Amino acid sequence: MNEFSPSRSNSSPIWRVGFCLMIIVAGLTVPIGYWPFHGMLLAILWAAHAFAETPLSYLGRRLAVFLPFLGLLAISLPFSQGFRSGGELAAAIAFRGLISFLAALWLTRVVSFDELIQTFRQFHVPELLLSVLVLSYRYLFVLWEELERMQTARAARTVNPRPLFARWRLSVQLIGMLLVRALTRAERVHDSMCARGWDGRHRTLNDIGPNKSFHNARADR
Amino acid sequence: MHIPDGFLAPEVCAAAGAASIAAVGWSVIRLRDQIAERTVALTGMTAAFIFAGQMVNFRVPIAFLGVPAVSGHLMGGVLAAVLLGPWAGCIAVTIVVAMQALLFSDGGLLAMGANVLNMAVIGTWGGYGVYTIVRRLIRDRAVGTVVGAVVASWLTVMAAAMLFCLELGFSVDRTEFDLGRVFSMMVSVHSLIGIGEALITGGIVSFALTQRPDLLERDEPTFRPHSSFTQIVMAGLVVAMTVAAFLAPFASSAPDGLEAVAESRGFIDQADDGPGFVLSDYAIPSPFAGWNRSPWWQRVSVSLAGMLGTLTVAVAAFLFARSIRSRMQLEAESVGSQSESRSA
Repeated sequence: MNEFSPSRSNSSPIWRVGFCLMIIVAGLTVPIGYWPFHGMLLAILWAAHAFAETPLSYLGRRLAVFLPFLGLLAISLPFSQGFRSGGELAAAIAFRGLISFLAALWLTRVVSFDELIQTFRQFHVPELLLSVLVLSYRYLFVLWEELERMQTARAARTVNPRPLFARWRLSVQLIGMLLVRALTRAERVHDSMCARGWDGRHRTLNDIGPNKSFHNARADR
Repeated sequence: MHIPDGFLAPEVCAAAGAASIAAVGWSVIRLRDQIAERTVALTGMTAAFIFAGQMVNFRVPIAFLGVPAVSGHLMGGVLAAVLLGPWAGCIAVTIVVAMQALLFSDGGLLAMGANVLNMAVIGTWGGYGVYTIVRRLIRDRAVGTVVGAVVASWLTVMAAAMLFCLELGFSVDRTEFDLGRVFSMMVSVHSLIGIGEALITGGIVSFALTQRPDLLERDEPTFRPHSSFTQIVMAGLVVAMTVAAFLAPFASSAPDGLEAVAESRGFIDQADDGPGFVLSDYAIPSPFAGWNRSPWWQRVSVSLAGMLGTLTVAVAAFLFARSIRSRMQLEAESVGSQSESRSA
């Protein structure tokens, strides 16, 4: 869970979200050809990641997945012209995509989930959406672990290599079983929420007065 | 299908974002009106399930395209709509897209509106519309549910690909790239991806129907088709065959994107055609050697190949649906016999 636990920061989350969006908008709106400006944005982002103490392995793993995808998208434009033109546009798209991706990665490092919810609430996002978002985030990791256990069990009980059709069938059954378990769990979650007096509003530990100082002291430890 | 930032112009992102906010806002309003007690928990859990379900990769056998290994995964728009209905389904997929962008940097922050529009709104609203129509046309509930989900899944993937091309067309200078060619490439690739999505969604829905049919139970549609099921299926098949017979021969004979590049770069001759299948190059070889070069036979053979392909797909879909129905009947009979033996 370390990579989902952001670095602590004293500034308001709204400023951090605003900074991230400002960098992305600047990268997208500055015309193609102003490469020094784009280079400066990359340098700023590099510094921001250094202050956020982002591990290089964290950046590397994500860039390894993202860059090939971005490259394929960018190259599709000159490809559509038979590589006669569109090279500069492809470079611009790759550069802008990289800047935006690094900015979004920085945001995930410096804004916690609870801060994100508080920020959304300040922008008057409907409570129904926030409740669903909180529940999804809470149970995402539960279902993820359940899926991993099911995959391990399946791997232990089946023989490799299997024909493609058999693998597809097994994967579909795996997801189907996960669906059945998830929806059964949803019933239980709803019952327990009602038993605890759920009134439709999600609360974090920071919202609860007496525990606030305790929570902060625990975070300082 | 997740669009990163940098691909779409800021004004296109803003327009798509406004459309998404309106659509998701409308979904929230409609859901508030008809909210059941357990909807919030169910929607949240479904969103988490779709996110987790996307971690399961399916190997796609496209080695013949020269790509060694490609894997796809569930997108889940139609599945969410089938499980929750269009309003809660739209919210669930919106949450998935938002979590992917905000917590895992998958998809752009500014392009989030476009991603929500392409996947959550088109995937659930459009998908649910198609699913409902198909389900109402087929009397057998189980078969209708599965076939509706399959057809809707394929169509929503195609619609999302087309919408992306439209957004790209408004974002990029037309002199810099050939929109028509990008469009044909996107539609070609996504027609294959859509088949994968349709098979996965159909498989999951049929599995859920056999294991827990109560999860997919909804009120019977009040709409009653005026024609019988057989007449509707036959009419649909006739329309599809007509399109294949009369429009296929007039399709563009220009090479596709890959062939054009291969020709311009001079490696088209390295292509290995592989074993000669019956419908190679979408044509049927003539029984007489002299006919193969004739232009009229080339058109007729394309028509025949298109009709044969359409008929094959229709028969395969029919057999798939029949097998699901017979499996469900067997399950129901075994459950009935067990309950009878217990009561005895």
